[in-house]
Amino acid sequence: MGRTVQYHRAALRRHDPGLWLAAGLVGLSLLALAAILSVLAQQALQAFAPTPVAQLRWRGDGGEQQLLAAVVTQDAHALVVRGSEWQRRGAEYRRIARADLRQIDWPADARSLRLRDGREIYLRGDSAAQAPDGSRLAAAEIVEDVASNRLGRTEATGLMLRRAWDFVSGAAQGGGVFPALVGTVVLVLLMSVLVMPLGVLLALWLHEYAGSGRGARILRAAMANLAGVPAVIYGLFGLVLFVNDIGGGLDALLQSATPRWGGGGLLWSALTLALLTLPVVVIATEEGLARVPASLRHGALALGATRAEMLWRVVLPVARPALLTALILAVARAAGEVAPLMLVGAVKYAPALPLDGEFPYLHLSRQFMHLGQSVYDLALAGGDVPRDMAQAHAAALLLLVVVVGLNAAAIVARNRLRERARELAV
Amino acid sequence: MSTRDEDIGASVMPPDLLAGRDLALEARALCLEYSERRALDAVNLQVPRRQVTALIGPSGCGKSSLLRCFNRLNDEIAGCRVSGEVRVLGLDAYAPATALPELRRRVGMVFQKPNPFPQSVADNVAFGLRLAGLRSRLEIDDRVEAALRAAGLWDEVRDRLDDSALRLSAGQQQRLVIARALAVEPEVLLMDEPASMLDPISTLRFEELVVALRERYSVLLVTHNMQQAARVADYTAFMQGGRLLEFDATDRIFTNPRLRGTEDYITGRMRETRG
Amino acid sequence: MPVPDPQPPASPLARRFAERAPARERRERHLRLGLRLAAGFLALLALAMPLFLLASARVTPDWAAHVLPLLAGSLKAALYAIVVAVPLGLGAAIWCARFAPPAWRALLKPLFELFEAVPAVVLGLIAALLLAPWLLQHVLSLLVFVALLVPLLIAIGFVWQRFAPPAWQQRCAGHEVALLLLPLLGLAAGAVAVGNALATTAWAALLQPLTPWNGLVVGVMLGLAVMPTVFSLAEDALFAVPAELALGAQALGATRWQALWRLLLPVAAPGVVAALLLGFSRALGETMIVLMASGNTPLTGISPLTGLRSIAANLALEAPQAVPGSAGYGLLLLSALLLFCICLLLNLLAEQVRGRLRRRVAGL
Ligand SMILES: Nc1ncnc2c1ncn2[C@@H]1O[C@H](COP(=O)(O)OP(=O)(O)OP(=O)(O)O)[C@@H](O)[C@H]1O
Ligand SMILES: [Mg+2]
Repeated sequence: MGRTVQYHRAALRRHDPGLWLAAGLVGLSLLALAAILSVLAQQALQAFAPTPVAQLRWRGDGGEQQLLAAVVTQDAHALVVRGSEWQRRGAEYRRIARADLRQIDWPADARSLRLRDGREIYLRGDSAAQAPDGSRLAAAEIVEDVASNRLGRTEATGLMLRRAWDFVSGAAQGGGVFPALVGTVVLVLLMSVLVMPLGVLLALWLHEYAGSGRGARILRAAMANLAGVPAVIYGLFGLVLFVNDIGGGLDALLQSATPRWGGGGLLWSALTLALLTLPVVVIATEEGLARVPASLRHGALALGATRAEMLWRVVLPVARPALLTALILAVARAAGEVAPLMLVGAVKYAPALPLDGEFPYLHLSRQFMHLGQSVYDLALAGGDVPRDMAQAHAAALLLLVVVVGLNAAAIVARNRLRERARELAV
Repeated sequence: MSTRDEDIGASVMPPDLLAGRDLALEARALCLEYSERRALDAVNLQVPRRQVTALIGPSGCGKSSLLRCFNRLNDEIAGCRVSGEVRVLGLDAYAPATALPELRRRVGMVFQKPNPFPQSVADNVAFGLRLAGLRSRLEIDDRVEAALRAAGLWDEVRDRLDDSALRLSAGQQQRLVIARALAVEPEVLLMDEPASMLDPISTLRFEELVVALRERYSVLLVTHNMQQAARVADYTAFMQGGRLLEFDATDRIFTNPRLRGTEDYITGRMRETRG
Repeated sequence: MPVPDPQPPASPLARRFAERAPARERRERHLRLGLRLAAGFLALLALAMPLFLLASARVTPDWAAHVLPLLAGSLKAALYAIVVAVPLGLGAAIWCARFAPPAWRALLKPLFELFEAVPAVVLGLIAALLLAPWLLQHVLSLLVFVALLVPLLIAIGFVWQRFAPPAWQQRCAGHEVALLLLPLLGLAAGAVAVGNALATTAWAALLQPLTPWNGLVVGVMLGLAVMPTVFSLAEDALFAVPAELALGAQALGATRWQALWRLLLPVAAPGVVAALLLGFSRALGETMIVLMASGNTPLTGISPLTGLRSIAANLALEAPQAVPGSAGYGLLLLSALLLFCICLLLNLLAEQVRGRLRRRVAGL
C-alpha cells in the first residue's frame, strides 16, 4: 500500500499533460452544463419578471414622438419597447435607436395593467384607463395592476411567483402551460399503465422461465436493438401501424364520417411511448430480478411453492424497488420525448383536455397538448416573439425540472435497491 | 437392481444394518454433473425412517448436492444433470408424474445459511400454510405457535411476531427457518449444516431440538462437527470426492470405521474441532 | 430390501394441500402460458417494426434526389456532433475512470447521467434561440477558444507541477477540475475579447455564417447532448480494466498518462470504439435539436456554416401531413427505413465490439 502511494506521488510530480487535459475537458463539460442551466433559468425568469415602464421621447420619422412604454430589452445600440396594447397583443413593439433617443424617464407613478386576454396597458398616476378612441376599460377586464417602477424586492418576488403559478395552473392568459401539463401527465400515466404490466411480464419470462433458450436469446437481442432505435422511428411506426392502419380500420368499421381514431390521439401516443419505453422497463426489471438472492427463491420452492407462488410472494415483493426504478426511468424517458409525439397526436392547440368531467372522462381518441411540444411551438411561433420566447423557456424549465427530478428519483431508488440487495445477500 | 449396485451397496454398508427398517430416502447409483463436472459419482444411500442420519465429509465432496437431489432443488440450478434413482418415501422422485410442490412439502429443507424471507416472523412461518389455502387467522396463529414451539423459538419471539425476520439473530433465524419448514408438516427433514452459524449454547439447544425431532421426522443432517454427529445421529454416512464411502451405525463408525479414509477424516476433524 | 409401510393416514394439513394442488397447478400453467404469449407478441411487434416500414416504403424514380440530401444532412449533423462529443466525453471518461478520487467519481457519474436525461427539446430551444444568435457573431471567438484550449491546459499543468509548492500540489491532487474552472472561464472571456477585436477583419467575414441556424450550432448542441452517452460507455470500459495493469506500468516508471495511453487504452479500445459508434447512432437519430437548430434546408455542402436537413427532422416535419399511400409518404418511409438500418447496424457493430472487450477483460 505504501509503495503504491509512493508511485502515485512520483507519477504526480512528473509532468503529466494528459491528466490536465482530461481534467480540463471535465471542467469544460461542467461549465457547459452550468451555462445551459443558468441561461435557461434566467430566460425563464424573464417570462415573469415585471418590466420597468419608461416615459420616452425620441426623434422618429414624423418628427419628435413620445410614449409611455415598457422597456423589453436594451443594448448598446437600441431599445425594444412595448407600448400600451389597446388593439392587439404583441402589436405595439417598437425599436428605438439610442442615437434617436432624446429623453428617457422612469416615472415613479407609472402603472402597468394586465388584461384578461394578456394585453398590457401603461398609465401614469391614478388616471382611469382610457383608450385612444375614448372607450373605457371595464374593471372586470383588469387582472393585474402594478406600480412597475416602485416595486420593492419582496413585492417583485411575490409578483413573479404569482405569475409563475398562474402560468402553471392555467389562470394565465391562454391557459398558460396548464393544458400541456395535463396532457403530459395523462399521457405518461396512460403509458405507464400500458407498459408496466407488459414489461414486467416480459422480464419475468426472460429471467425466470426462458433460461437461455433460443426464444429468450432472440427476445433479448430484440430488446437491446429496440433500445437503440431512434425515437422518431417509433413515432413513424405508431403513425403507420396505430393511426393509419388500426385507427383507419376502426373508423371504416365504425363508419364514422370524420376521422376519429384515424388521426393522432392520446391512445396512439401512449401506445407509441409504451413501445419506446418497453426496453427500459424490461432491462431495469430484469436487473432487479437478478438481484433477488437465489437463497430466497430456493427457500420458497423448498417449502413446496410453485414457481408462480414463489415469484408472487417472495421475488416480486423483494424486487419492488426495482419495479419502481423501472417505472420512473420509463416515465422520465417518456416525459422528455417529443419527436414521436409530433407524429401521433400532440398538437399545438387542442380545444379540449383529454381528461374532463364528461363521460367517458378519459378521451382516448382526442388530440392533446404536451409540454415538450409547447416548448417547440412557442420557440418557433411568430407574433409576440419576446413573450413567447420567455414562455418557451419557462415551459422548458418546467419540463426539465419534472424530467430531471424523476431521473434523480430513479437514481436514488436504484442505489437504495443495491444496498438492500447487499443486506439480503449477507 | 443390478448385481453391480448390490456390490457397491455392500462395500459401503454392512449387510443387515437397516434390515427391517422403513426407508425415508433412498439413492441408487446416483450421479450428478454441474455442466460436465461430476459432483456425485454413483452414490448409494439409504436413510431410515424416524431416525437421525448424519452426513459427513470434507468440504466440496458433494453433501449439499446430494441433499438437493432429494427435494429436486437441483432442478433450479442451470447446467445440473442428475442420473440414477432417487426414492422419497417409497416414490420415485424423478418420475415425470411427480408433483414437485407436494414432494417438496413432504421433504423439508434447512439451508446452510439461514434464509428467512424479508417479512415478519409470523408471515415467514405462515408462508407454507398460506400455500395450502389456510385463511382463518385463528388456525394460522395456532399452527405458527406450534411450529415455533417445536423449533424452540416461541419464547424468544412471542412478542416480536410482527417484527421483520431479518432483525433476528443468526441463531434465531436458523430456528425460524426450521419452524418454517416444520409448519407444513413434512415427513423428512434435510438439514445442511444448520448449526454452522450458531454459538456453542445455541448449538447445544439445536442438538436437543434434533433429538426431539427424531420422534416424528426422518432427519438427514449434514455436519462438519464430529461431536455433533456422534451426539445426535443414529447412523452416519461418510462422503469423499463425490462418492459415498461408508455408512454405518454412528457408534460403530466413530469407534471402529472400516475404511482408512474415514478414520483419518474423523480423527483429523475431531482434533480440529476440539482444538 | 425393506419396503416402506403404506402411507400413514394423511394429516388435515396434508389433505388441504392435496385439495389445493390442482388449482395451484392450473394457476402455474396459466401464468406460464400468459408469459409465453406476451413474449411472443412482443417478439412479433419488434420484428413488425422494420417490416411495416418496408411494406409501406416506396422507391420512386427520383428517390435519390429526395433521400440522399437528407441522408447527407443526417450524417453531417452526426459527424459535427461526434467531433464535439468525443473529446469531451472521452476526456471526461479518462479522468473519471483513471485519475479522479472516488468522491469526484461518485459525483460526476450521476451528474452526467442526469445530463443525459435532459430532454432534447430543451437543448434544442437553447440552441435555436440563444446559441444560434450568439454564434452568428462569435464564430471567430469559438475558433480562438478551441485553438487555445489544449495549449492552455498543458501549460497550466506544466507550470503547476514545476512551480507550485509541493504542499499545494499534494492538497490539490485529484481536484484538478476545480483548479481549472477559473482558467477556463478566463480563456472563454479572452477568446470573446479577441474575437470581438478581430470582428472587422476579412477573416471574420470569411467565417460569417449565412444563417443563424447552421451545422455549427447543431454540432455544438448535439455534441453536448451525445457527450454523456459517450462518457458513460467509455467510462465503463476504462473502469473495467483492472487497476493493477496501470500500477504495474507505473512501477516501471511510466507516468499515469503514459500508462493509460500505452496499456489501458489498447485494452479498453473496443469499449471506447463502441462508445463512439453508439454516440454516432444516437446523434443520427436525434430529432428535436436538429429540427430546431439546423434551419432544415437540404444543403449538401460540407461546410458547417450552412444549414442542413436531417432524415429525422424531415420525418417530424413532413410525416404529420403526409397522405398515406402517396409518393411522398412512401419516400418518407424509405428514408426512415434507411435511418433504422443504419442505426441498427451501428448498434450491432457496437455490441460485437463490446463483446470483444468483455472477453479481453475476462482474460486479464
Ligand atoms: N451451482 C453449482 N454450479 C457448479 N458447481 C457446483 C455448484 N454447486 C456446487 N458445485 C460444485 O460441486 C461440488 C460439490 O459441492 P457441494 O456444495 O455439494 O459440496 P459440500 O459437500 O456441500 O461442501 P461444503 O461442506 O463446503 O458445503 C463442489 O466441487 C462444488 O464446486
Ligand atoms: Mg454444502
